[in-house]
Amino acid sequence: MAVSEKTVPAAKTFTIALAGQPNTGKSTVFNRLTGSRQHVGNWPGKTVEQKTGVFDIAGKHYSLVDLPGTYSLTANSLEERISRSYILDERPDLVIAMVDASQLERSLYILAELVMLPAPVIMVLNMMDVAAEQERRIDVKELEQALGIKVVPMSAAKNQGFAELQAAIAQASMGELDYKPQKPGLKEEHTLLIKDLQQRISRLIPYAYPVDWAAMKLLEGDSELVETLRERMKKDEWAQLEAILGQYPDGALLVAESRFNWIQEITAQAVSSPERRRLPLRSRFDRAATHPLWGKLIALAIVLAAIMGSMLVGAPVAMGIMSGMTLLSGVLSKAMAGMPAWLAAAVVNGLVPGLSFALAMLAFVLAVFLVIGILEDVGYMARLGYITDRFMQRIGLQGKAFMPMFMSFCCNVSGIMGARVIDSWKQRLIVIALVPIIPCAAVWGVTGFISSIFFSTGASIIVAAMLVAVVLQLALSSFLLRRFVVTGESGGLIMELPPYHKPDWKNIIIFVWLRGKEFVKRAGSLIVLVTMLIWVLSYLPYGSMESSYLASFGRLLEPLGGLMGMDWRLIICLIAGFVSKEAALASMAVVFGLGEAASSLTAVLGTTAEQVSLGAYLATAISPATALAFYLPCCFPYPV
Amino acid sequence: MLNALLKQLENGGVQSVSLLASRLGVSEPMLAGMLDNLERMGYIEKLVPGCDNGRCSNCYMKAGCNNNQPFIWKITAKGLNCTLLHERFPAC
Ligand SMILES: Nc1nc2c(ncn2[C@@H]2O[C@H](COP(=O)(O)OP(=O)(O)OP(=O)(O)O)[C@@H](O)[C@H]2O)c(=O)[nH]1
Ligand SMILES: [Mg+2]
Repeated sequence: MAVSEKTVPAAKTFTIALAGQPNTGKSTVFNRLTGSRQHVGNWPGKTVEQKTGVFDIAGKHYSLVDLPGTYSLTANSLEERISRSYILDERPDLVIAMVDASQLERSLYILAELVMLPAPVIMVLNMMDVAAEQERRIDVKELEQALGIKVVPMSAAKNQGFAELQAAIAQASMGELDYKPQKPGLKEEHTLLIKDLQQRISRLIPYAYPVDWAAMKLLEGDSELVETLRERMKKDEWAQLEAILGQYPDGALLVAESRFNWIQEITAQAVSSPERRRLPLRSRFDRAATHPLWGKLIALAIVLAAIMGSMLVGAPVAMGIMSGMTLLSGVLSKAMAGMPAWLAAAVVNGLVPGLSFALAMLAFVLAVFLVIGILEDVGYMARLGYITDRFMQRIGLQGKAFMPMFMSFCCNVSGIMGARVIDSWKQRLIVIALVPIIPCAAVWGVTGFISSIFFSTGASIIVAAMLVAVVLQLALSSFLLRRFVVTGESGGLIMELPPYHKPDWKNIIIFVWLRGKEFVKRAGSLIVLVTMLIWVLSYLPYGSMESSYLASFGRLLEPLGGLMGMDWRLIICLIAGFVSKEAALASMAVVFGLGEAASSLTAVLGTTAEQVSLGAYLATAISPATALAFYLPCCFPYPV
Repeated sequence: MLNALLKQLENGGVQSVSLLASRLGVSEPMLAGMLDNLERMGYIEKLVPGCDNGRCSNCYMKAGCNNNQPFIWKITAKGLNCTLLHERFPAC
């Protein structure tokens, strides 16, 4: 159908509708064309905004309607109903299909529907500036030919392409534009089906509906059309039709498939996307980073470097804070000599150690966030999760089980929550058991912190060793689990890996700053509270720790802790750690006292480097750190 | 095309968008459109990684969780049933 076939009465203004997916620039074009000559109201009887306006080209009057943005034109949503009934019932003289050139294939989907409707269409290929930035090359002439409709390239926000658009509109209004659209159609084997459907409904569908469009919509299961036909058809006719449609429960998929095939054909020649000629270096790295073996090694190396890096930054700052606070507590205890003993003790043994641990911890947390922020900003974090899938597959956990593991890198709690997507309860349990092994961001911070207290310079080596232990533990678990898990959870996952790019320091600083603030707000106050609580328990009833409530409670559990080489003080810390890892640190500060944290701990454990062989020393000294790393993430996730 | 995509999901494993696009012989925006569509029809669903707002509200690491998390799609029961129909209907 050519526009020229339509009779445009002189009295009636030429009406144009802007249609397209959301965010393709319809309103931008609408505003530029109409300027202040617009009216904003509601669609009749609807709460959806309706914008209409008028403009002139070479003295001729046009009216323009901004349709709601929709992904398709099935009667799924109010917006879709409005858009399509406007085009069908009001019959605009021209439809401008807004298409996003930077997302061409995706946003062409609605055009596949628009060309089936009776109003002639021209296509505006908007966002050409973005497409050019992405090095997405689009041959407009080729596209025009493949589509059989006029295509106007444009960058609406940059005011480019409006002269061409106005020229095309003027041409269309004079009937000088060719309109021979290539329409999407079902595969050969379904032509009979469509013919049959068409025959059954042709007399019954509303006058405005093209029959080939209606048949497709029916197959798609369009609710509005189905309702109309059910009302208008005789009972037996409807039953027959329903039986036919019942054979195609996935009819919507058939129809969608035909549209995607159409898009593929249209764009095959006209579009050259950057993915096909992507810069070789980055994609080669990505191939390695997502490779089953290399990917794992790269991940291990990067995580190792990241943890060590964060400790290199965090440790000196934290140590500085600690020694500064030790000096402060010395000064304070002298200054408070005249005050009540309990008050001085509360400040010197409770508040100050708590605060200084909180501050030192903050240094580590910021350092960890800095490293995570960098990894995330350059686009690596997502890959880190991606490669854990290989591991999951090896232990017979597929696809969905990957989700919680992936999420655990930021927080074990959310990882355990994420396990809900797994349908099989057996697998879900296994995943929940595995999740806490994954070191989350908080674990990085705490283990880094503890190790630096114990081994100021050798701390990185300890953390590296712990990371290796994590990997070994995962491997061991996988070995054991493979014996119990037989079935694989069906259904894979698709994941959008962000492209790599250079780190944006401003982003990263903001990231670190926001997280740091959050830490101070939440963990900071918690640490101070827990220290005060622990201090009170360690002070009462006689003002001496050895005879306090806390000590008696801890001693009760000592036989259990003895298995891990811990005395009652460490047990208390571990119990506090059930609340959160920071709480464990805070209690350490109190029960061991500031400044002597490291030395007193070593003394408590009964092992100094001279006394015992190095191996035994390491084993005992590491145990609180590893115990913290490996035991429950936090107590809250478990009532899931 | 959509069917091949569902088939890939049925096979299991985790695939990146770019890998999947090249496997299916389509561009990334095309695949994005296909995923959109399948999601709207209920054959796949989008998972939103990140913290549970209720449970994580007290965690100072929370803010780090929702940052830049990639989209993840999984196949739904409807999608799995559809691929099983594969024998009867060539395009599902
Ligand atoms: N870079 C660039 N941005 C554009 C272009 N055209 C529009 N935009 C921007 O894209 C965004 C969306 O534009 P709108 O005009 O609101 O899109 P819309 O189609 O009306 O969206 P809905 O009303 O949600 O359907 C705005 O921020 C515009 O500034 C363009 O050619 N290039
Ligand atoms: Mg708009």
